[in-house]
Amino acid sequence: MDSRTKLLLEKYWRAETSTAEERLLKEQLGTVQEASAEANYFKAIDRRKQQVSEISFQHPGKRIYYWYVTIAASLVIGLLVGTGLWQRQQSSSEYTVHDPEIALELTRNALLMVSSGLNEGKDLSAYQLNQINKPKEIITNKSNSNIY
Amino acid sequence: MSKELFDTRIMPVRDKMYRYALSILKSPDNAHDVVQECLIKIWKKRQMISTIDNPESWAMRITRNQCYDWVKVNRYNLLQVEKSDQADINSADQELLFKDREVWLNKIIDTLPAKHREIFHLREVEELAYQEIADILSLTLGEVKISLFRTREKIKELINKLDTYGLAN
Repeated sequence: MDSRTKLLLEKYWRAETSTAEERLLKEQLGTVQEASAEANYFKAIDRRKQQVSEISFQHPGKRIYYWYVTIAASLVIGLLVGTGLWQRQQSSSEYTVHDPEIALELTRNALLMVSSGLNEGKDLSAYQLNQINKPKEIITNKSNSNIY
Repeated sequence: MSKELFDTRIMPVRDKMYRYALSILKSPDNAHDVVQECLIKIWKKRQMISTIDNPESWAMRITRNQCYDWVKVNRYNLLQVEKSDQADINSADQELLFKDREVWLNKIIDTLPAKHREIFHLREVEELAYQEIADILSLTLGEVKISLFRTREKIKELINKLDTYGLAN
């Protein structure tokens, strides 16, 4: 340590140094390869100067902007969902019958339609069964003629 | 205009604000939250920046107030921290138990009385002028100078002890 630095250091401990002098002293002692307690003290201060937050700070203006975007997006989604639900309700109410007699008539018609469909199916099934039995009859007839 | 002032005068000071909050609260997470809140507060008052002489000191003062508001709300937690610090300074005073000098010196700085620590931090770490420090802490120039003199005197005394006992050699 040179005599000038020593003098500056003495002045520093008496709290008589200016900001510029202190900066000079910290630069000299903060980087020196010396193991003295004083040098370590300035190194410790230098390390403190380099402390920064690990999480970066958000700009408040952008933060508020993000809030607006979030609110606007929520409103749009809410509007779409609301419209969808309303439309669904409207369309389902078109097919709702409030008069019991008309409802009975409509139900009867629907059941008749299903019933006639089932009857058609029954006829068709009988025909198909008949078709399945035909080869069996042919084979039986042939085998009988061969015996005689 | 006010947005520009905020970006050029306040945003560059955010790390200083963080270090100052950290020196008071001693918790990185809480210091971060407090500074983020301060930035929002200042942003809301950004129209005022053009009328303020020293926006940096103003931001630091807001940081300080916000820290002490936080302390009021979380008083129990801070007391716990202070208690453990007291134990550290006693052990440091008695027989310099820490082998690592830098760790030891950090402990000495951290365990100074709150106001002395703040003045020490603003002067030594942030290199602020005495008047700026006085403005931030609402103290007189004389009080700041005396506090800094006493703090340095104490640190010098502890450093001499360390050198005399030569524990780290």
